[in-house]
Amino acid sequence: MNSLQEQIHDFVLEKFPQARKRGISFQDDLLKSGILDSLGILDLVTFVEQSFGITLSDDELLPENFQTVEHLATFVQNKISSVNHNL
Amino acid sequence: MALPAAGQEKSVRAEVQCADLAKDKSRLLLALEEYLGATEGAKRFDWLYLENPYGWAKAWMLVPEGSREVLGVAAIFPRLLLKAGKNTVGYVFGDFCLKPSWRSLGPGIQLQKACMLSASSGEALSYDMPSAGMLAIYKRIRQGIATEMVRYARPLRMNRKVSERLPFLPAAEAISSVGNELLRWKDILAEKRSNWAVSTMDGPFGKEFDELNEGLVEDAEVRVARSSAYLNWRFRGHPYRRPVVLVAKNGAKLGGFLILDQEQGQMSIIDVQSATDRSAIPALLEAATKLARRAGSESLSFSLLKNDSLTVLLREIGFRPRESRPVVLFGTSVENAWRLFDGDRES
Repeated sequence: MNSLQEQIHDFVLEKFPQARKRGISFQDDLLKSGILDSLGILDLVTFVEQSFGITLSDDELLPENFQTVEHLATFVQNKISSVNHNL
Repeated sequence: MALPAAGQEKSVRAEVQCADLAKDKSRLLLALEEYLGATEGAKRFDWLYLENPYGWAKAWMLVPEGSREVLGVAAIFPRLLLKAGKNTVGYVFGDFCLKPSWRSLGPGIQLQKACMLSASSGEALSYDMPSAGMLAIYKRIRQGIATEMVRYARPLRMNRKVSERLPFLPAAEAISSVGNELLRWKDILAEKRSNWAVSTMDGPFGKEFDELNEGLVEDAEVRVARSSAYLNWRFRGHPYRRPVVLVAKNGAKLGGFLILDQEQGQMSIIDVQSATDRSAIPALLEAATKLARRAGSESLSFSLLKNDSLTVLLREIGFRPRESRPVVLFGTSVENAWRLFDGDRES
């Protein structure tokens, strides 16, 4: 899980200059702070889909899943577990 | 800014509701002002949503369960479009906005899908000139034909560019003066003789504009119909913009018109229309250039779709392509058959 959080955290820092400038933690709000907007979410979705081999539906693109690095890591972890469970 | 740990807080669900423009006006205004920064809220709302000659706008709101707060808005505004010479009602998308904490793509997709479902009923045509954020939604849902609107610019003055590169003021001023004069002479030499007399028009658009619109046979397959009712609403009735209208006439005969708007000292052509032979357009462009130069504008801009046949004429008289921005078209399969200008979107 920590590795997953770190991977997402590293991507956010690398991709979004505002995140780099502010030095975000795993618990910082990425949406309210304006670090992520719709375009940023699209990049993040592509990143998690490609990096973790999962597919996100439109219904899953909810604020609660993308609010923080920690939230996204938990969501991705649950998604990976459910995919593995269904195999 | 730290939040409860993931999975520990109760998630808030939201649903898309069709807005009742009369009953929900104050809620919509609040959201538009807060998330979109819409100024002159009530005046703008009445003009844009209620006074359009082709009917009321339709709007949707994203509302959380058990609350009256509006988390987001999306709307479509009716347009009379001409498709292969026949009138058809279409829509332009606009006023899309979301509360920052809800910009996670999913809520935006939900909201935009409601708009698109309504706009595409039957065989209606519609279009959008989306922001970067909005474009993310279109990319995700993979709908519509994406094309580009390119800004063409004709340089008129060199002052800003020279002063940026040459901080020594007296020298910058002298070089700018020479450069400006060269640009002016370049335009004079490129000017073609014309039988059209171009002047500004201050009053309302009259029935000769309907005749011009109805008599037009154009190469563009789809365009916004420019009836006098539409033109009066769009350009004369606007709550805070006062564009300049230029008309080209030969005696009493109207050959075309051009509309100029100014923002932060820079002038742009936001609409142009001429009779089928297009002979009035060069004269209108020359008059617009002179007016922009007199107003001190650094350049004259004109944005149009990348494949519009007018781009050839623009290049001939010294306009050059600059940056582009996205346009999304619906209900059509031929991307280069549309004619859209900045004036075709007013939201």
